[in-house]
Amino acid sequence: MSDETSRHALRYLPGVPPECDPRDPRCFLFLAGFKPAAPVVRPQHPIFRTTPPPGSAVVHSLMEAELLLQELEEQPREPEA
Amino acid sequence: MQIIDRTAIWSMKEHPFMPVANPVHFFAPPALQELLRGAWETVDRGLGLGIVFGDAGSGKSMLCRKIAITAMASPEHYRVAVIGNTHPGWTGIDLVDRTTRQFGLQITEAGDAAGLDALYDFLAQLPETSRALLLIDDAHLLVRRGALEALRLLSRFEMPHYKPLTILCFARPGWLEALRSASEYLDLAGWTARIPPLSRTDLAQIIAWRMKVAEVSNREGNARFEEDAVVAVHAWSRGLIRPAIHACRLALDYAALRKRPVIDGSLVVEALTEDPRFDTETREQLAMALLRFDQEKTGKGNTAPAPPPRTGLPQETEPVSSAPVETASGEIRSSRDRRAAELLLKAAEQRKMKRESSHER
Repeated sequence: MSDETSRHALRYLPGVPPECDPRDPRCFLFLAGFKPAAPVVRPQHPIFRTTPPPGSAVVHSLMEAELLLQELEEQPREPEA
Repeated sequence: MQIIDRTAIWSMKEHPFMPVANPVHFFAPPALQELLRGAWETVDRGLGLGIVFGDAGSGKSMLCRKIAITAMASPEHYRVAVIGNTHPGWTGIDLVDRTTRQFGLQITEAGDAAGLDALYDFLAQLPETSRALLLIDDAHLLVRRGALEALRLLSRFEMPHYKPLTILCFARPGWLEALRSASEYLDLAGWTARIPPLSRTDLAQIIAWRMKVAEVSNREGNARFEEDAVVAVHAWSRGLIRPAIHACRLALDYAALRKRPVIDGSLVVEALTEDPRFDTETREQLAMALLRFDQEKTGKGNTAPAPPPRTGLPQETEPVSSAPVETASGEIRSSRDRRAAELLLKAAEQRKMKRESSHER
């Protein structure tokens, strides 16, 4: 029996699919409608900024980090004591 | 967890008759399989709205959860959301917000329409091979005009050849009247069905399945409900699954507590006497059902020619005669059955009184 056919048979057969365990409270609470589904993860687009963030800001992306590093490298270095 | 009591007669992995609609215990008799087929067709063809009507205790929640868990197992084909705590006070915005949340969508914008926008955005991005499935249990509690209007809005989202969102509502039959009064809502339903009452055979299969799943066993090896026990449970339940499960739980607990190795009709009646709803009428009804079952059994061994079969009646409701003379007059048979039932009851009561007096000693 193909995978698709067995899946269709599961609709009418007693019991539950092996992937899901309704004895697990998280699964059961979702089935009973008391808990929402796991949040939908949408693909994050990279954020391009023309100017680097101020020094105190948190660096959120690799792109930002590279821009910040580039800016730091371009700044004249202070002579070492 | 395995529950083991060395002195106990009965042992089980879990209780098979807890008042919880866990799809682990789901079993579909043929009529219910037909209903499931209709529900899945509604989803797969993208018909939009389907409504399953069922009386209180007919197994709506179990059916809802069985569909939900089956769909969950194919995330590449179905995105599932379940609403199980509907409320008569819900407005349209409440319903849309809850739907959005149950699908796991995040509302980033402010405003009343933000939830609906997020939902439409989500539905528009679904591949053609996927369906979003929203299951609303106790949908009869959606009574406000706004909530019904939201239902209409949700089920109206269309792609060129199908509706990506299927809403399956599970409601009591009274909701049909509410929808009839605003026919534009009922017309939206692409499919409707009603949960059929359980026959005795259906119930016997359900009980056997639950006992098997829970791995119920006893020293006698009789980890099952005897036929007459099923008859008594069926008579008590009137074809509804919830009271049937309740009766089974009382009977199994009663047998376990009193170390009784066999669950038969008389044990079920004894166990049910502990229920506050058990009254004289119920007692008479159960006794009649058991008596009729006895007659059925006796009739099988009878060499007398069987009366012509009656068509259009379920098998278990057909009166079965033990002798041809009794079939001549329904009234005579009825009064004789009643007298016999009364005698049975008196005997059961006397047995009980004796038992109680011996306990007191």
